[in-house]
Amino acid sequence: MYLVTVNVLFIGVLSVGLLRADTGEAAVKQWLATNRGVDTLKVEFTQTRKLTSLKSVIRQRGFLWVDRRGEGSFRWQTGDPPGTIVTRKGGQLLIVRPRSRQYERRPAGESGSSMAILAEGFPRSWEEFQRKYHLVGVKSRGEVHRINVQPRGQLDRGIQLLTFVTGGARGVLQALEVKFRDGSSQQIVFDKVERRLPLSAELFSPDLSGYQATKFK
Amino acid sequence: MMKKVLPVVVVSLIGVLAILAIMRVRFSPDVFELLPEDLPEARGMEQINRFFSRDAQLIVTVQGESSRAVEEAVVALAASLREKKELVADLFQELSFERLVKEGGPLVAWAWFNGSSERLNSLQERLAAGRSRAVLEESLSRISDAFAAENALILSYDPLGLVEGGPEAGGEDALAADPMRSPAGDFEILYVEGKGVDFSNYREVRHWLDEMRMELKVWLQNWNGGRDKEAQVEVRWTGTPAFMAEIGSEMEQDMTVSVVLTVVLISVLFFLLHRQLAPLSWLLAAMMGVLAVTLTIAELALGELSVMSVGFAAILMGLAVDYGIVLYREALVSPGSARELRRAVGPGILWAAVTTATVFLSLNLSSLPGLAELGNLVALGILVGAVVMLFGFAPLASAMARRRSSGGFRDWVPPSPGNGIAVMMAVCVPLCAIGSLVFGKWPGLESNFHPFRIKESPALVSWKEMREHLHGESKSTPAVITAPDFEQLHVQLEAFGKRASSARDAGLLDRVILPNSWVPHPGHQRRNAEIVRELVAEQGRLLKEMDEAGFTDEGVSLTRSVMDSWERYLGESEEGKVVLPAGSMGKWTVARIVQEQDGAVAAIAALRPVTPGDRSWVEAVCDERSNVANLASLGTALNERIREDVWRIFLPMMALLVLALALIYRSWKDLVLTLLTLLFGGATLVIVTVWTPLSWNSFNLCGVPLLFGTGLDFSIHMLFALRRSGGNLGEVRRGMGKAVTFCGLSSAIGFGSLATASAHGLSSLGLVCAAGILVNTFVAVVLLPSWYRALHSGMKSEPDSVSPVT
Repeated sequence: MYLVTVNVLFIGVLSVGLLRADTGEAAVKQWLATNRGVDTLKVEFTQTRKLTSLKSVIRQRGFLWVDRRGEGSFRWQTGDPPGTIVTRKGGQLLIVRPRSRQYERRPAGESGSSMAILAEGFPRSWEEFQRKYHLVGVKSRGEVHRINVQPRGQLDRGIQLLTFVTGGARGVLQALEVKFRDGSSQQIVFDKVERRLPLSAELFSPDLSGYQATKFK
Repeated sequence: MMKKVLPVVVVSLIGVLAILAIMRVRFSPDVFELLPEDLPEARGMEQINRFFSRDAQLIVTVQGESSRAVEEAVVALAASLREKKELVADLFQELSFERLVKEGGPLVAWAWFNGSSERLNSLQERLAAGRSRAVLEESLSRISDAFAAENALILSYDPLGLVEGGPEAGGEDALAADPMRSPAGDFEILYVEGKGVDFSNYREVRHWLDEMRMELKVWLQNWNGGRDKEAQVEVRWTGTPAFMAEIGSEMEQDMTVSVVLTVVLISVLFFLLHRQLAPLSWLLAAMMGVLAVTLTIAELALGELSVMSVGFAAILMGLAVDYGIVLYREALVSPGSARELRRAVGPGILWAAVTTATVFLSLNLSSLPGLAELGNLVALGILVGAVVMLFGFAPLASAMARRRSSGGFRDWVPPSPGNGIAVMMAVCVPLCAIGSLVFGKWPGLESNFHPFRIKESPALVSWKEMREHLHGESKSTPAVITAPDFEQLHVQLEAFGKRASSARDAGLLDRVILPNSWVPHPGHQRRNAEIVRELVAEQGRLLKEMDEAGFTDEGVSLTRSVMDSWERYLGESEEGKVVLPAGSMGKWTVARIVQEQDGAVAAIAALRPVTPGDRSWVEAVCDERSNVANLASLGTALNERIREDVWRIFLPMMALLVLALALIYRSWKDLVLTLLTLLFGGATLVIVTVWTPLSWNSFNLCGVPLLFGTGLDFSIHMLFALRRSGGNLGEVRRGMGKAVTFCGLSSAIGFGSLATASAHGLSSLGLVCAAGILVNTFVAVVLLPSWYRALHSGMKSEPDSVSPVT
């Protein structure tokens, strides 16, 4: 009788573990499924930066356009009127500061930062996800899943934890959180997401008339 | 009973003395002393070693599948090693922004204090009252708008732009030439500064390294134990302590193994040929005595033996035993007193010792100091050997010989072939050599051979792996620029920079990184003192403005640290000192690039030659004060130098010897025969090096004069014996033939035992010399008598035949 009880408990514990692991993976796969077949994307977001070196929190509203067709492009901008515009077209990254009317071009490979996660678009398959991230765990509360990952490769330097927050019946991405090693953090909440939009090529090639080339620090 | 035990006791006692002598010897793992001093590459390597190599600095490498795995492991390993206070004095990791914020203030402050006044002026203007607030507002705006959160983070700790406007702004960072982390982040190194032992003594270093190895092993087991495969890491180590311990241990082992191997093989050879134990025991005792005396003299004269000189003991054993054999055989043939024995063969042994020592001393003409040292030691040992054998072994040999007749020896030397075969071989072998050169691969010098490199070196493997990960394809070469003081160093650096730029324009270099901004600049420091004083006076206002702009204590900590450091540097400057960075990070960072030692200062620049093995870039950038440490061009330079050496030594020696032989023989036929034996030996070596893996390099090529000497020696002995016997080949074979064969075999054993040496150069020298001596022995003992008979056809000579064992 004792042996049977132990075995039942053991199997129970194993099942819960497997179920939990399965639930985590299922949440990720559910989110990945929402990205499948999405070639163009427009996101309106609110970015909150909470830095240990600053007394107050910094909030910015911004837009992100992603076009994964062909060689892949994106445009990211904050502020209204925009304080900074960053575009990538092919292998080139263009950083524009309209206020100072300056810009810089640099190879896209040098933009090794947490924002490359947004700019490169989200993974669309489990294999792509695993190639880019190490899944630390998934915390679920109701329909909201917090997918905690650690980026692989150069992106993970300085980043302690990256969290994709998904929610709703379809498991759509709602926010992205980055926690840095010094205790600082950044949250990007997706206020509005539009998929499969027609995006013009001009969007990714801002007009630089009257701008001066420079090298930003 | 007593008579049987006595030799064993004496041999054991002298053996123990010899082992004690070996144990007392101090081995120098420093290979830079063995290179020609006039080569810029050799000077560069020696200067890197003298100024920048830290005896106590171990490099620990951490490799993993991902950047995160390595980063976490490095942090944990560093914390663990810092706790080992009895072993580790300090520890340095890759400079990260987090560390720069916490510890980098003194370094940033020094960079401004030491930089140009123009740049400091522009900083002062930016931070002037009324303008600094705009700078802070601009920073806040950029923090808010920054695309990459990491950039926002960095700026939030440095809103006044003190770090980003640092010493290398606008130029290529000298520290970038010596990274500590691979671009992918999956490989990182830690510099561990050891303590607790004398790091100039390799035996103590070995002990320290054993303890470190244990600590690292235990840490690694614990770390990898509970982790997934992708979070696991590999830990290895290299650097000066690892090389010192490895080279020192290998040298000890090389000497012991080669000596033991030589002694054992010579003993076996002696026993097989003579079937006697008592004379063998005394011979061994005499050999050990020679070794003990020579090592003691060498230690007194040199202090330390180099990685190349450890081979001398085995060569010496192989050569010194010959004198003992000659004495013993003579004593058997003509029994008498020791005095009579010495009178009979003493002059011959002494002349042989002097001539062989002269051949070894001729290695002093070589450009390699290491080879010269090896030659000097063997020469000294040979002279000691002659004296020990004549006055120590001769009385024993004569006493033993009186109790035993000369009969009973095996007739083991092969007979000479018929004239036809011998003449055919004399023609065919040189022709084969010419054919090999025409149809085979020309036996050139190995271009990338490094004679002083250890064959199986884990520290070297780790070192290469580290270079591969950190530098990849872009392998920079360090250049060392020296001067008496910092003012002069800047003058030298400027001149070096101009030469390097010209070399880059000429397509010889594709990258030049100069260390100028990291070199203390007394002139800049004097001019900057006043500006810095004014900036320090503004400290209160600036910190208040930062506070009002919304920066926390963490946000202003770097700025505060910079201001405090400036205050400190001003104090030092007022005392008339050249200001060096404060703080452990600052000191260590600058010490990697600039060093002050023994009244001289040195700085490291980085160059990337287009063709490293080509010496034109070396000649374009180097002068007396500027040298490079590049192994590829060093290999080329050594090969060029050795080629010159061979002709410089070989040709005059050849001319002198031909003249001397002509005078000795007074017979053109015998002169031709001797030259033919040398030609035959040389041709055989050519064939061997063309068709086997044995090849020539800058080190074993120096064995050619040695082979030339032994070839000559053997042929002279044989020709005189043939003359004395009136061309009786059988008599010569059984007499001098046996002696020359034993000498040849024992010398070949001595040299051949070096094949086990860990240094490539020594090992290849041993192999080539062993092969060459065997060829020389065969030619002198087997072929030369037939050639002699063929050339002296009018002489009433007797053909050779093997007699049954008598």
